[in-house]
Amino acid sequence: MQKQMYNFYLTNFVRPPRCTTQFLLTMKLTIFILITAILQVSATTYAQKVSLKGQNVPIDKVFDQISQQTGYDFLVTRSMINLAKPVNIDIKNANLDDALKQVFQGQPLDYAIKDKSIIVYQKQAIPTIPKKEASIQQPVIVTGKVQNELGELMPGVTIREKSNPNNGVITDAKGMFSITVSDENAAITFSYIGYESQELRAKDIPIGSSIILKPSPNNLKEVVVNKGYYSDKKELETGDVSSVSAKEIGEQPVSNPLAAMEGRVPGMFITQNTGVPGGSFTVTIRGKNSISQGNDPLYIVDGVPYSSELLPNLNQIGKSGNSLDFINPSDIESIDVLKDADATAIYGSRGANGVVLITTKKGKPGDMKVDFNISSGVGEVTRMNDLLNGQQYLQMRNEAFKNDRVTPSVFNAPDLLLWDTTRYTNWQKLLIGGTAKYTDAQGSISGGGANTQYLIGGTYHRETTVYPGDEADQKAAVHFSINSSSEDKKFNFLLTGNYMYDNSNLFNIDLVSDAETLPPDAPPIYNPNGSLNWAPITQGQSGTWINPFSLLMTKYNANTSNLVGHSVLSYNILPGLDFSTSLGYTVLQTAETVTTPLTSIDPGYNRTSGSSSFNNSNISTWIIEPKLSYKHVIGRGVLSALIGTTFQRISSLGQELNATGFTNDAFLSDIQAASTITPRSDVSSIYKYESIYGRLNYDLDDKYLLNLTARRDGSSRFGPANEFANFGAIGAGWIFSKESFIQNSLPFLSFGKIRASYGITGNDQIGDYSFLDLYSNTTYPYQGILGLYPTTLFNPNLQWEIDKKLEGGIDIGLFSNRITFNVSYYRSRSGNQLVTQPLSYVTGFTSIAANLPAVVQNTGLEAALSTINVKSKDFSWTSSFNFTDPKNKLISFPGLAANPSYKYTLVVGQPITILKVYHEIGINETTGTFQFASAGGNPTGSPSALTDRNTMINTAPQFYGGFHNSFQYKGFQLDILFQFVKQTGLEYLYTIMPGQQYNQPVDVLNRWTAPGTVAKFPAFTQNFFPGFLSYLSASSSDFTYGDASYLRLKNLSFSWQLPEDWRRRLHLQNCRIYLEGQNLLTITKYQGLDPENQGGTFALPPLRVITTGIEVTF
Amino acid sequence: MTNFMKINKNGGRFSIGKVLVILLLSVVGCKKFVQLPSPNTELVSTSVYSTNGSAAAAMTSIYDNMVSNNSLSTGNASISMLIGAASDELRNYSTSFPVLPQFYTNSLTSTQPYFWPEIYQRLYDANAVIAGLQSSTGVTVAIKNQLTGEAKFMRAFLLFYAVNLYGDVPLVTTTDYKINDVMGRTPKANVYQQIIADLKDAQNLLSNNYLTPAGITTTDRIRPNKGAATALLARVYLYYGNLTGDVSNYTKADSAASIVISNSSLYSLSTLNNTFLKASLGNNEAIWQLQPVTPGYNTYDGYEFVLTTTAPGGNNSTNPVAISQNLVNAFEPGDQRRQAWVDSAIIGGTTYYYPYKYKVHTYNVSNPVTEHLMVLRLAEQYLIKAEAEANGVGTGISGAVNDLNIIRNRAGLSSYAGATDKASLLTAILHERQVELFTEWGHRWFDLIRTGNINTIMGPPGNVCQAKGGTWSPQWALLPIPQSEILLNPNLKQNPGY
Repeated sequence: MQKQMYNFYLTNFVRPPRCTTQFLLTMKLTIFILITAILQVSATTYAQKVSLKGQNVPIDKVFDQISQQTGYDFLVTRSMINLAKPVNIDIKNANLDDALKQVFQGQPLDYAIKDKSIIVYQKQAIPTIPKKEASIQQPVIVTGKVQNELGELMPGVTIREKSNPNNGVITDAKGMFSITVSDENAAITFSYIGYESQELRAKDIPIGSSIILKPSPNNLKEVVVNKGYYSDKKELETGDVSSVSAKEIGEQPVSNPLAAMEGRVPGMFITQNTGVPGGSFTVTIRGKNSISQGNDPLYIVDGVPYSSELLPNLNQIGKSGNSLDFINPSDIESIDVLKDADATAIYGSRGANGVVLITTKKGKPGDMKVDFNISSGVGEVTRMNDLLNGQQYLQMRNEAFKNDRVTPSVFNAPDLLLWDTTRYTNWQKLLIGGTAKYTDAQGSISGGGANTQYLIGGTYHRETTVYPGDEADQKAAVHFSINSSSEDKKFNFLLTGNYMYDNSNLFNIDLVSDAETLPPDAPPIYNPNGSLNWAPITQGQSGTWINPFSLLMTKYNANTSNLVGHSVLSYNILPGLDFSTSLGYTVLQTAETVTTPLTSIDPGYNRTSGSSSFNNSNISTWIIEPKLSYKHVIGRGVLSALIGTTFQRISSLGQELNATGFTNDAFLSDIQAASTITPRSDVSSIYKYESIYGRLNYDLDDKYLLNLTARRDGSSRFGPANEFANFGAIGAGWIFSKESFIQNSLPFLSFGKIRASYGITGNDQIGDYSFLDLYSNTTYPYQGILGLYPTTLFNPNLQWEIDKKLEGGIDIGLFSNRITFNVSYYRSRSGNQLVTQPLSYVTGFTSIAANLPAVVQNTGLEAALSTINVKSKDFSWTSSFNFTDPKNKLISFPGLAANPSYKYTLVVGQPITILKVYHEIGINETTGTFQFASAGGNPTGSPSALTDRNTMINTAPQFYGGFHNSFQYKGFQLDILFQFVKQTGLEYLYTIMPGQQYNQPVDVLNRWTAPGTVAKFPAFTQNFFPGFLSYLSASSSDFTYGDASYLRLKNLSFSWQLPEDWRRRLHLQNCRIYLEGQNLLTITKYQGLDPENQGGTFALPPLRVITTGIEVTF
Repeated sequence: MTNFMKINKNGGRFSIGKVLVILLLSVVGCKKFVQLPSPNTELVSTSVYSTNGSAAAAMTSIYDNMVSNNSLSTGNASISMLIGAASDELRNYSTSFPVLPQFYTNSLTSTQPYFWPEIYQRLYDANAVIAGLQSSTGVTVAIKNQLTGEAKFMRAFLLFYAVNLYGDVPLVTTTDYKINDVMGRTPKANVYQQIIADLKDAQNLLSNNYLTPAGITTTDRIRPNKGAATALLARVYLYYGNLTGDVSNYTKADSAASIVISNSSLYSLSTLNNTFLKASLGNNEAIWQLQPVTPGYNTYDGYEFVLTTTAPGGNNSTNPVAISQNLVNAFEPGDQRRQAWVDSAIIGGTTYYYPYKYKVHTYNVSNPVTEHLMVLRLAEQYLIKAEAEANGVGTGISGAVNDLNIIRNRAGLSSYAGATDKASLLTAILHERQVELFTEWGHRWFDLIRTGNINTIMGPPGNVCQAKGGTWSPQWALLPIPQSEILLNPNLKQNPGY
């Protein structure tokens, strides 16, 4: 098919005159669309030379040829073509203008060049476009190439004529450009994201010059902020969005993107709950808004909503994993965190807890680039607890029996009487003292031309743990992206795919518990013949201990595959008006097995069969989002408008089966070999969601900004009386630094903006089907059939939680933005809380899921400071600092005093994160037991749970932040990130009573021994009563909480880029050798393994990881 | 590219308009998009009452949940066990079940909810069946009548126990939690009127025959039929007569019991050893039974009451009680029920008597189920009739003696030879009820209350309460309303003394 590169007008635009305005409008629009196409999509430039040869060629064929060779469009009507004579021509490498002169010689037509269009008109007609610049002044063609400071060619640089911003081009894949400007004095600007813009006169750019752009990390003008449905220039945005770049993620040896964000985003508090690969994270953005429902942000990966949770599974480590573990960090281009109403209200009922947008890497125009990045490293527990040694342990045990006046027997003291008390095992060292090994290999190929770009990458990642054995978590990931547009840039197409396969055979139970509590004189692990040692065995009873190495025989295997596929089809209908549809699909599938062979079970239990558990789960989501966007200059400003709809469906399926009755351990993974199969859980739910959303933005003079967003949501989670809900926000900004009076009086102020927003978002993490009156099956049949009984009450009014967000902020840039500073104050009030409303038994139920007008308030101050401290040819030093001071408060809770679910945990006026505990007032010097303050202020040894829990401990952080420094000297780069948190947390081990058959920290030696002893710990005791009960009270008192603040060297990354001439010799674009470390140093007063996860005896702390690697780009 | 032309031709706006219309239409018409069917693992109420099968399953769940362990029907939290301990029937040996000693020593506290939650849970279930079927179109008329009849029967049955255990109680006839959550206590007489109305409806709706959930006649008697509704109605009229003193209720009790007794093709007294077998084994004394559902068990009553080699109480959580000396002594010499329904075990030198109405104690997955939990049986109808007649209705004293003798003779006792004045006869019938209906559904306790004998038995001169280690107060005849309920619903007022 022959492409027609010019356009015919079917109407006669010359006469009748009433059509002229139509033509004019059309012309303007045409120009606009062309410019837009050229500017917004990475475009090409065509050679300006024309070669033509032929006799009696119809003029339309000639136009066609010229179009193809130059990329210029002809604007011409059929009637004009009909008027024209055939053309005789023979030119070679002629200038366009020369060629056109020849073509039009003797024709009844003439032409004018306007931008990339050749406007054809009849000679007697007056051209409708004023062509002053073209006709009076001589246009100048400027050509050249753009390079960065390293001499690399830069595709995609925007080049504009300053006086006519609509005239612009983009450098091609080789950094080349060619632009025609009005005259030789015209100023031309070169700009590129992350680089300082340059301005040069046309006459100062000799043909073929190299223009070098310098990086400028603080250039707000060019930074574009992704807000999901639209993007804004950082400079012009009215909302609050923080971003983490691919570079920041890439310099951290982590396998979960959440781990890479810790300490980097103000207002976002992330806790890694375990150091075991695949473990869970807790993420809150600007505090907890919901008393009893989900506080997870909305995650969106490449436009597709992504589940924040996994379905119930067999992994008991770290609260069952985290779904983001199946997103490959190295495939991520950027993570944008949307925080305030202005940014989140367009996400409606899902925006209350913030929105995290994860965008994966795309291909960029340029030569094919092949990138390899290979690293390996080690990880270990950051620190061990100081536990009792063998002698101290035996002393504790003997003293406990003595205190209790109990004679040790083989039943209550096998560790003293049956075990070899001269043995000593350092269980911490043996069980969690190993070295985890990391291996990571990535490769990618990317590139593309002006119309199509591609990227395809693969990653292999293997990670072991600090536990004994060589169990590992292995990931293989594939990522691709294709971006293509039609020749005229009207139609664009984007397809991205992320697939990860994860296989883990790590244990499903954490060994930390055994490491911290097994007595040091515990028996040997193996018998001389290599079998597990269960001895010694008390008479007729099971073993005297549970051999922790039995877990090594318990095999856990989890296969998870995750696919996120996304495509965007967009079409430019009219200049400024685009229609696009985003289509997404994601499926996360897990198949797990746990096999517990008979050989791993204490023979004393007399089991006859091993057992196994099987779990399969599947979460799949599809989403369709058509939208229409429009951008138009109105008056002195630019109006942007957007309207779109969403249809979404999430289906969750999960089944867990337990199997026993195997004749042989060899059959454990074959469910057919089991004689008894018991279903353990069955999850099946569907969530459907639809909405219409819109945005209206007006930007006056790039100074006064107004942004309105709205969304109407319908959700299957809401009751029939409230299926639809409206949300919206208003944001405004004033860039005062652009006012002349500011510019005159404060010349050092390079940027200043005041912004504010207010809006309403919602939280729909209220569970599926919670409003329905559901019936469940009875366990056993009656008269041959299973009964169906009501399990929930019908609540047609059930609805979302409503969050009203208010924010004010100021963004300052000083000394050409060498110093930038942002402060935001936020207040969000979350009402309509979905809580368990207690009901009288008379209703048949004890509670109903209902919305209560309880209000939770989060306020806070967030500040970020970035400075360029030193910037010279060879050395640069930049710093950034972020700080968050969050506050949480329960403002109201009607009926709290009568609500059995909350009256013991919540207090109006206090944070919802408080714990009500007893106040421990020291050890009674006479009895050696704990004493607590009763409600009346008197000391008591047995406080009442109903009246005496009057001390409040807030476990939420009081403030937190990060401090990042980046140094560059020639090819060396050093990045250091410190993270700090001020908080109170649960300390280690104090919940286990010293004196029992568990090891303890050496602290417990500070115990009561005889009347008159002043001690921190009570007398050692092994009695359940009263010792243990007293200890239970202590574990619910302020005794077990302490300062869990910490300052952590979260990340250090050191790299060396090979000098350019070395690389050139090796034909490498890039070759970098690096050393990266995570959690390298922690300064804390915390009593326990790690203040971040406060895992006590339950969870492995986040590990210290050091890796080295090399990155090579061809 | 010719798109430009096309758009020009169409004037541009048409396309935008079209897109907008599509966008808007797609949202406007989509309320249905967000309305979901129920999840695969559960059913939403409207679909429950859309077919015969699932509607029958909803009704069936009430019986199913009633016979699971620790329900008010059977096991160690049942009315038979706890109210039996509260009265003079049982001796408690247990310390491990906190509520059993409380019942035993008549020292209940309002912090424990006791039977209250389960009664109202099952009342909700019954109300849900009634309401669900009322608006249902998918259930056939025959099944709808049967299930509505069963649900009304169950509502009456549950309200009967509520009003006898607690006195005035909230009368719930709807599933609307907003109404029920704030409901105050309804006077006993009004509750009785609702019970009577429900049972009359049940009589009309239910079949003469015993049916399966699918409406097919069966030999099991584990769903209530018309006879069950009539039998319960007879009992209710008797109690209502005691409450109001209105003799016409005795007439109605007499005639209802007579209807059941005269239905000899269905009902006849069994031998003592067969009285608690399931009906399909030929036990025609059964009017309504519940089928044990937990695999491996017959009735939990048999499991909890029958002693083997371990003494009751202490750490033995299975057998917390034995029969009181008071009840053992109540049997007349030669009463074969003393042999057939009471057994003893000598453990550690002590003789423990235990209820042996249900004989299967053992748990074994391969055990066949031979016994069903008896709820209504014919013997009680004779005693109801006798008591009504003793109050001067129907055939009067002679009829009363005659009916009493039918029960006495079945137990191998000679015919009643005592005084035939009303008071003596009522005393004889009360005694006969004690030895006939012991450890069945708290009969003894309710009999003592409604006949006004509770204080003289529990307090002086009987001093049963004192003998059990408690202190009797007439206020202990009623259970306390749970304190948590009063906190949640200020319209609920506590019974005096709590």
